[in-house]
Amino acid sequence: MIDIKQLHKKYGKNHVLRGIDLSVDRGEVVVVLGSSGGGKSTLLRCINMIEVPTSGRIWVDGIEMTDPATDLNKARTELGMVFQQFNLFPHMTVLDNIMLAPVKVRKLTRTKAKKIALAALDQVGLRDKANDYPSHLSGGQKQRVAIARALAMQPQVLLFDEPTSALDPEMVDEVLAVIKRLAETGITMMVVTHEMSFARDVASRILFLDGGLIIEDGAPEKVINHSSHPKVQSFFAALS
Amino acid sequence: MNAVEILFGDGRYLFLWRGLEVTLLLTVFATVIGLVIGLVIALLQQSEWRPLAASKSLRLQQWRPLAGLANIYTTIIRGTPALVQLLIMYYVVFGSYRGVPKLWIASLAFGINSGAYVAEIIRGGIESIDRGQVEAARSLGLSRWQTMRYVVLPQALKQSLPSLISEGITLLKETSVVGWIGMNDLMRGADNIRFQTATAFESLFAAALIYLGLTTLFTRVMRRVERRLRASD
Repeated sequence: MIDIKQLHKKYGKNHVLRGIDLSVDRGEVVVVLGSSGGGKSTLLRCINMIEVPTSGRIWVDGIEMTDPATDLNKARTELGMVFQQFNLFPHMTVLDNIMLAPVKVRKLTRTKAKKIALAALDQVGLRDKANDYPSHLSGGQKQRVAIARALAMQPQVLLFDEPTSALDPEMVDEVLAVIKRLAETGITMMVVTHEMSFARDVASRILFLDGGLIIEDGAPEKVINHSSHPKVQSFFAALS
Repeated sequence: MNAVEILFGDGRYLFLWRGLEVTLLLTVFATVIGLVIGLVIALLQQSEWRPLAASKSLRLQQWRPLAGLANIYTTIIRGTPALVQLLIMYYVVFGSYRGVPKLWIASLAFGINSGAYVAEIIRGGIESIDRGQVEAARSLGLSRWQTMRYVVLPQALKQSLPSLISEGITLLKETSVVGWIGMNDLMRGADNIRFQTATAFESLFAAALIYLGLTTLFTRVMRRVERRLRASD
């Protein structure tokens, strides 16, 4: 589903990604862990080309994102992204936030788009907020709407960039519960997070990034408990 | 002569009354033209069209001709007096078209002038919008233009609204030099009274008070809009 070859990203002298090779299969739920500044978010943002890689190649569902001839607007419709800061559009109601891309990008009729948007809101349990503005929602609700907005494009892959890091602690669980339910539907996912219990329960695979490289990659049990890498060991030791 | 005689005797108040009409019409037309031009210029400034991106020179790769053109426009307009622009428009650009109404020529001149300031205001509005908004829109598959049209501009214009009203107020005062091309605006009307009566105080202060009344009124509208916008955030 996602294939990455020798991905590098530099910001000036700062070499954030130093040669990532990765292959994610359809239906995998990949949780990306690692200390901050390790390049986790950058990796995710390169996959949908919101961040342009310095070098390397990326394919999503057979389409090469890094090929200049690729229609990125079209390719991105298969990659839903959920951001740390939600990034809802404050001048639109919840419903219009969700309907915007189906109407303007997928060119659906408003009736059809509304049906899809309401179904997406059902999936995150917020149908009753359809006509509210984002400023009237709690942080947890905002993030659930952002998830619904990504879902309404019916993408092949969902990318979560620290979806609970900006939330008050009491709202983390409602968002994680939604993501967990989505994971069970079999959609391909990559999640950057610091929520260890989520990684343990939901991930089918954990990547550990450090210094711009994947230094550990495997089943959760193996990465968390049986890593031979000292950096990974100390990361989990510090958490428990 | 007392003040009432100076301003109202022989129907002299009509100088001010008809002048006021000219000033308001000119301000409204120029504001509308300025908004249209300013919006277009602000969008050109955001243009990412790089026709020489394949070139070897780094400078040429980065060259954005549309943004460059927009910047030349704002630099020239903001760097020269409105009066000079007005006279160039009247005596040079329309120098050989004497049939064109002066109101049109002046509206165009002040509209082009105001457009440069409006562009800078809208540019500020666009740049104040959080990058996350653009990222979210692009991640959903919206094109650059769709992102601008549906996500960035509506928020940017809302942000800019108080400053845009303030620009309209500035324009109202700027138009007072339009007598230079022989238009009988409020200022010229007051001047006519000054000539007829050979008294400066009453006529000039009458004009000043009317300008002040108008700007106060529009400033009130602006404050109200600001409060509304704050409440809706």
